[in-house]
Amino acid sequence: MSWLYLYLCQPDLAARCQQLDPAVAYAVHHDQQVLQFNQNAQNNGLKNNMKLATAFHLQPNLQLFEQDKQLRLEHQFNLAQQLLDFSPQVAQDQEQGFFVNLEGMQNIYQDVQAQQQSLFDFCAGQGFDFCLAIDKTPLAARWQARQHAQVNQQQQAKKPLSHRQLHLVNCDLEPSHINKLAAMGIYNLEQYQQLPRPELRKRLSQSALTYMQQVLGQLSTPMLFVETKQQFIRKFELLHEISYSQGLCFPLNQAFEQLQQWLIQSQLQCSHLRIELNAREHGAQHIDLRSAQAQQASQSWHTLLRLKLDNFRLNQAVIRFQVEALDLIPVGQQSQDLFGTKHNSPDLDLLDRLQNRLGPDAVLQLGLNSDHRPERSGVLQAYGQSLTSAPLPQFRRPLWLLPQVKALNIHHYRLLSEVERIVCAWWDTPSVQRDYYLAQHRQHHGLAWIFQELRSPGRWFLHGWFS
Amino acid sequence: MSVALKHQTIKPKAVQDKKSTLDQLLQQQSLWKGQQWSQQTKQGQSSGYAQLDNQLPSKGWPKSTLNEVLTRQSGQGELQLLMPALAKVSQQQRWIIFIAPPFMPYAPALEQYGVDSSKVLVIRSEHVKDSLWALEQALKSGHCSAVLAWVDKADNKATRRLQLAAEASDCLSFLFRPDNVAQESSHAGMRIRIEASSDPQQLNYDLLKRRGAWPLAQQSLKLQSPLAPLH
Repeated sequence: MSWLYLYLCQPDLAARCQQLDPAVAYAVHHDQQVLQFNQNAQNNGLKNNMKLATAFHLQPNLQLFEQDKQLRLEHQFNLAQQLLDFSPQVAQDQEQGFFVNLEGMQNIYQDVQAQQQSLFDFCAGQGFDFCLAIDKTPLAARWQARQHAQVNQQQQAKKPLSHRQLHLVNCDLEPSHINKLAAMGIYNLEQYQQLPRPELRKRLSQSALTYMQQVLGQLSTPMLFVETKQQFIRKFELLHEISYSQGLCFPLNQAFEQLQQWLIQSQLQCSHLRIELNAREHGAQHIDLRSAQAQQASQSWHTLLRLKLDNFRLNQAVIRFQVEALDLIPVGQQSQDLFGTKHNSPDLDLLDRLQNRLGPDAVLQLGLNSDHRPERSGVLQAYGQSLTSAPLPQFRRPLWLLPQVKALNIHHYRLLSEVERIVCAWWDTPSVQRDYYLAQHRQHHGLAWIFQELRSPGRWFLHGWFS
Repeated sequence: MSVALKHQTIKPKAVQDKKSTLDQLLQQQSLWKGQQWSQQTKQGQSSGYAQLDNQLPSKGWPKSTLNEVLTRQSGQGELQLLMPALAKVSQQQRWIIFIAPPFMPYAPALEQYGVDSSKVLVIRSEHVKDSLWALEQALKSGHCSAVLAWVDKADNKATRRLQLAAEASDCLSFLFRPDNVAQESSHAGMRIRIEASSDPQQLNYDLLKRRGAWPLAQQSLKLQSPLAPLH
């Protein structure tokens, strides 16, 4: 059995930013004290529990973040979900790291080193400081990672430390136990193993003994593994406020890349993305990206986003955003479109473009209904709704139908045809009782479709143009 | 006398020089000849009216070019004029797109003219720039058999862009504009002005521009009358 431990050196700082700028000094504070900081801040002399005034004195351009527990938990939940891409068994360890079982992925990775390298590359791409270590047991891997982190952050333990190199000060034993062992001249794991077990029982509590047995693999370590969530909701903090809509393209593209990776690994496709843009004050703004075809590629969403942003105005500067994937369908489960072709046919690209730039209500289809009321027999409906066929009327119909009938002066028209009476059943609403005629306008000679209300004779209305 | 002799010797040489310069320009294809265009014209989409087909150099509505239809107001017979061609192209597995139409295209009427209404998409747009953008996208997509757009204002730059997009496409494109822009220049390859006639079975039109031929004014065409019985 082989376990990897991902140690987050500054978990609160990691939750704050997707991509930290190494040239900038960042720190997380709570109660006017510095808790975590990046390498740049460390180089400028920042230390843990330092007062903020001192920190600013050392680094006037220091960027500060208030500690936010909720944000950290959300980030770690998302991170755990992403780690499931590398192993089926991932467990969260308190607030500082993750246990990753490296077994069972031989079919995907050639060897453990390749798997470890993939994990390292993934973590390095996240922009936070971390340390990875491998050992035979999860607790030993954590011990190794902590010890590595003391020396150097953001590194991959090339070679596991020997038991002689594992110092007891970095393990999870209580300080009183560590002091007792130190008094006996025991400072590392190798020395601990050489002690006879009865002697250890005399000096250590049962919980400490159990812990050490778990480290050595003599007892198994109980763990609660992370379960895969079949949903993609991720929040992204922005380093700087974005006040113009096109400025959202770059950070959102990073979100789309994460979405693409998640969709591929979940064997899913998505046809609707909801982006929530949060400002410092006031309510959130939403952007809905819809696609007539289920998508996986980040580039497709990026193209649609750019079209959407052309007509989008930000009410407030954005400080964070959330991307949620809606309408998820498994890969391969695709319905047929109205031409009987697969839903990923290229002509749907055009529809996507039009819908995202002009809005989903802007792209409509013509529909026919088996109803002899003119308003019902031909309709405009949203794209994608099922189309029905209906028998055609016996009389000519106008090519243009007015959205609402318009009162007219019959003296401006010359009647050309016989009457066509259209009367609906008594239970139909709206009720229609009309006498229709084809008429010509006396001035501009346009051919009109006009009617007279049967219930109020003498009242004439224009309903369409034969064009 | 000597002057006259001198004149006689110089003139043929100057003409010869100019002719050779012109030949060079023609060889470099720097000059455009109307005669060449009419020879290279692609076969258009039959309008369904023999008279109109004969008057159009492409023997029908020109494809891969922007066609402008100018009317004083909607409902002058402009859509009916296109119905035979639209009925034909609706047999293809491609869209017919109406962009910002003035009223709702009535599906039963389109079906009566033989147009497959399931192939028709209607795009609503509030701004002219969006209508022009949608038209350009539709032309560039290659998934439309015909695109019809109603736009009040389109400057020279816009018609140039649309004409270039239409040239790269293989579809019928019609831009409907008010007839008060007839005097303005346009990059459209064909411009036709339409007016309803006092005879309900007839339509008056002027071919304001047709590539490969002179403009043609005051023409009349007998349309399929709405009064005629359906069969």
